[in-house]
Amino acid sequence: MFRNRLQILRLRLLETQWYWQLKRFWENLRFGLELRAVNFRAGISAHTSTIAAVWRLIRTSSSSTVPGAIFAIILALATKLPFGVEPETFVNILDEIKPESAAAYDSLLAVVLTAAGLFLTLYFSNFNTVIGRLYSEYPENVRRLLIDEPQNRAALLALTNFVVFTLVTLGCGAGLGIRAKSSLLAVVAGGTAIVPIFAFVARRTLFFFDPTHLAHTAIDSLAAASSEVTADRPLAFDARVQRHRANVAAAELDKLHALTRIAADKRNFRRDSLCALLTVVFSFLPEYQRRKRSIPTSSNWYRETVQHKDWYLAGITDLQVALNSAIGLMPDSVRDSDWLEKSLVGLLEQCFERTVLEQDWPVAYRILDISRLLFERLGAGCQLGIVTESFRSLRTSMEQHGFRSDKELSKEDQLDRLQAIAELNMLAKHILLSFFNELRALDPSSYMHRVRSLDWQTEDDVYSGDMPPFTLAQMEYLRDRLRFEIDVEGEIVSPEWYLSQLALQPIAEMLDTQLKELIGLGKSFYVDWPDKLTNAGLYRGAIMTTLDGLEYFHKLRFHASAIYERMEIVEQNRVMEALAGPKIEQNAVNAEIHALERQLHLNLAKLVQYFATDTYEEWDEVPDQLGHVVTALANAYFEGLMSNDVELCGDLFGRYIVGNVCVRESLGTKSSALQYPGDLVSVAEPTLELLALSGFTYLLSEYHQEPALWQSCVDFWRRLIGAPEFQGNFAAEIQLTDAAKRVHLLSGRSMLRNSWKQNFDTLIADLPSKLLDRGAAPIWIETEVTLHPSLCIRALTGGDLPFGVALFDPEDVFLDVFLADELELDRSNALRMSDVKELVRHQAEFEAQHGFVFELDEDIIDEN
Amino acid sequence: MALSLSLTRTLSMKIERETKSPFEMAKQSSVHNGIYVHLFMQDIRIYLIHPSPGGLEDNRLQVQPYTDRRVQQVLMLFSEPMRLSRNIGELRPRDLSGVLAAFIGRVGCDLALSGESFWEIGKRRVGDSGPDSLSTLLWITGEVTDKGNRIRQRYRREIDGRRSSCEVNLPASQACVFRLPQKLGTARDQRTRISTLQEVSKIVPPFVEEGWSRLKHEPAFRQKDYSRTQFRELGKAMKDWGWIGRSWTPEHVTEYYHFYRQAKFHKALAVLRDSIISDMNAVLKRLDVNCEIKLRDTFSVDQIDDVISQLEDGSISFGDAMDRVRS
Repeated sequence: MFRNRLQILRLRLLETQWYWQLKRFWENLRFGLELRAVNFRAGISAHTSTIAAVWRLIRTSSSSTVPGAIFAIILALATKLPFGVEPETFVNILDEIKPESAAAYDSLLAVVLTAAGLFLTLYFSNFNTVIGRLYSEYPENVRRLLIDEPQNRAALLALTNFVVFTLVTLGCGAGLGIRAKSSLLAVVAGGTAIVPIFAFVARRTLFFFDPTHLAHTAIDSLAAASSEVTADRPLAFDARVQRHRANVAAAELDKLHALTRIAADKRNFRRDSLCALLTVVFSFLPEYQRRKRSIPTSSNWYRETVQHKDWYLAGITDLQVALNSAIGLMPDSVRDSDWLEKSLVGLLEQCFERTVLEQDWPVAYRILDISRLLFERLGAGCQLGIVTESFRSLRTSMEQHGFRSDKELSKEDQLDRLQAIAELNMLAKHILLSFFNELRALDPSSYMHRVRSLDWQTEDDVYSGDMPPFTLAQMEYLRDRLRFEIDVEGEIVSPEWYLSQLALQPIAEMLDTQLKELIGLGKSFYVDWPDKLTNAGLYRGAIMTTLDGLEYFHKLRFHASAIYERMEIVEQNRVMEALAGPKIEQNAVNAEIHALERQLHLNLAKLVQYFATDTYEEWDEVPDQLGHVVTALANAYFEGLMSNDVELCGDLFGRYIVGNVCVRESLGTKSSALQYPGDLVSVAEPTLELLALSGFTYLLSEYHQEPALWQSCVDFWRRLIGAPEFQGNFAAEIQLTDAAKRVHLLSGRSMLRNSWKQNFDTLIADLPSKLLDRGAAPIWIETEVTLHPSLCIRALTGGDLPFGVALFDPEDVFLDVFLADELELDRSNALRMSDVKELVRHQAEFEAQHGFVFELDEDIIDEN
Repeated sequence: MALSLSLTRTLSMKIERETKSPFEMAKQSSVHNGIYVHLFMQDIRIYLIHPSPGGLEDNRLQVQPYTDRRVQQVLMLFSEPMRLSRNIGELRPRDLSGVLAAFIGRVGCDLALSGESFWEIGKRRVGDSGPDSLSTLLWITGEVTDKGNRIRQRYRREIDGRRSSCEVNLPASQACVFRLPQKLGTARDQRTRISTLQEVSKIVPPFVEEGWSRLKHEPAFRQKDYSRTQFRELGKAMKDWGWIGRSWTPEHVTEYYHFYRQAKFHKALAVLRDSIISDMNAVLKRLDVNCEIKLRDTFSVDQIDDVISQLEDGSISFGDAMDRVRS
């Protein structure tokens, strides 16, 4: 009964006005105390009235000089104590200057005072000269930085206090007759110290000509403001304190933007100061990201912004109101938790645009190189949305100001621009890798263990810092609601499976959104952008970007598969399917990546033609680059053959041949002497690769029973053979390949051809087979025949051949089935095991002899 | 699903599950002033229809506040708490007597409600002229004392604005007492609950409301803190019933807890329903009416317990669970 009445009383208390007013008074009191501290530290306050200004003057001057005066008085009074406080050593040292000799004592003080005053005057004269020159050039917030520079302020404070100390000591001696030896010693020591102090401040004044040095000051203030809003700080949950800190941080960011503008605009600052400034600014991000884990997501530190409401997520009432009143849906108010990161990224975009506009390409790619730190942290922080936006902006800057014809630029500038494009390409890959690196460090099991051990009733336990940042909002969601359950029911009612599913949900959501962002970034940057580079005539940039795109998507697929395996626990804990939240859809992601890779290969094939017409002889690196392109196309073509993608193969093969011939020509001109076996191999390899791929085309068209594959290949070959510039050259080329095959040297391309053979062998090895009894045969009692509808495949993989298809070189297959007849080649001296046509004929006879009739045995297939 | 009262002999009446609001039903029927028994799902709700000055078209249900707490136990039997405290207000004793009178009237006991209180009817029929053909009275009380074969109740009534207290002493054979099932708490618990509900039923404190009426903003008042405290106290008070309140939003509870409390509330209603049916059958038996009220196609308490267990295991979705317990 008593408890009930107490509860009722408590509820009635909430209905009284004075309860709320007292509560507010207490909050105001704490906020006021905190704000004073803030003002003292951050030094920002506005005083507009005269009285306020005078009060400010008195307060500032007294607070800065009182310590010196007090110290002087203490030392002076110490001599009046009944017991001696002045050490004997002092007495000995200052024996020459007797305290009784007032004139000598006071003169010394006056001299020191004059010297200090002189130094102060000199300093301010120097300072005024520098500041006066810079004042009109810089915006207000930068001027503020110059004046409030903390090291100068500290040194000046020391000088001022010393002057006051000396003055008071002199006053004590002259007015009150108190002349302490220790005071004199302090004056002498201080007088000695003012010289280096003056040298220090005078030197620092010169730094003001390059205000980017002051970035440290702004960064320090920014760091201080961000550290004050973490959950472990007093009043961290007070909305006004949060807002105040956010305003301070925004002001500091404005200063940084102003400094960056100054550094980017002036050519002499751009080379070094700008890069140093950006390095300092971007170095702040890792620390801030660590702190962000301890900042409540509902904190006013994160600015409120409006977000358009999705119509399909809007409530029926909102929709009805909007429809009936013919107005739009009211936007949602959301907190922008990435505002500071966006501001830092804005600095980069601003600098990059400026440098590209000035065609200062060395600085442009240095800036991109420095921004790797920023982007890697954003990738690791799973903030890929910002990265995508930023890349869009950087790309736009490049398109608007950097797409000038090569003829307008010097060769160095062209190379620097290419380097900048390469840096952009590398950045995207670094972002991807840093994102997956962070994910690899995330162990869902230990995360769940941590979630289970959370004390839900403690407000700030979820901010302990060891939770992944993207789970923070969900942890806060659970904390508020589970606390409610504990309050009402005395325990947590929501079952373990539900909590696990909710706790793991952010991981699934993060994976879903971030992978989409990565795919989107790859698509817009590597798939779409090369078109614009091509249109602007930057073929090499386009090819480089496309090749990097292939690497990007390869890495994406590889790492995504690995992460999916690690995140199986998320799906295992999905007890209730109906609960909201995305699933981890590995197959859909893989399909999307595969489609984009296919598009990249087609783009690459189109770009090869530009090489055929461009003046690539001028460039040493072009044959290498073209070689990469052709190898990538060859690999893509082989994968297309393996997956029976007729359309892709048809699109790639013709362009591949063009590229291959270009590479062959460029190598032929350089290795015409053929002094070493390696030269012979390198010259013959493009043709060997072409023959091998053509051979695989025949084999895989037989394997897939797809004549269109082979027909398309043959058509291209006939066009090539019929071309006037190639007539008569092929016989010599085939001889060259035969000679090269006798040289057993490993190269990248030969290894690639071997990997194709291994893939094909694996395909063949998976075919079902049947044993045939050959009866009285002298050696082979039983023969294994591969069950495949193609007689050619059966001939190459079974019958009399004990070693299977591995013994065949695909280039020999192509020569046997097509090229030898077309070119009427003499193959009697070729390095080959057997003629394919002969083998097929032999296999047909063998099967007729043993009554083998091909039929697909389902049981054998199942067993295999 | 039809919810029906299956009466085996003379009282063959079937009440279909109503889908219309009580207000619409009241408009269609001639009951413009009195009590309407509305069977909705498995929850029996009693709505009081008092015409407002503008008539029913005014779309308002008007009731006057009730101040006597002694009958609150029965109030809880028949009405959903929130409806009691917010939508309808509180019931007068005579209204309450009318509730059961109307109910008995509907099952054929020929006791109509005609504006006068049940107590008046009972007094006229029992106290003044002695037991008539009705021979049994329904007695409504929160504090009933059994004294041998007689039942005594201290009762404060209000007739024509005048309050008076009286004590009624009836033969036990002529009274029927509806009590709250033990599973849903004791009478003391219920009183505590009601008083807490009354305290937390305000949207804002009175001083804020007054400030609004004078266009004065109260900057010190924090609506969010106030609401959260109210919701928490409401949740605590109705813990045994599982009632989730009408304004509980995902802002305060998890989705699971929301549905868990709903299932618990439907279980409490099922317990209550079974208790009412059991008491009514006892009345019919005492009336020597050879019939028994049975509800068909409703979920039993055990079945709801099964659903709650499935919810705890995660083997049933929230939607399915609610469909089943509400059926």
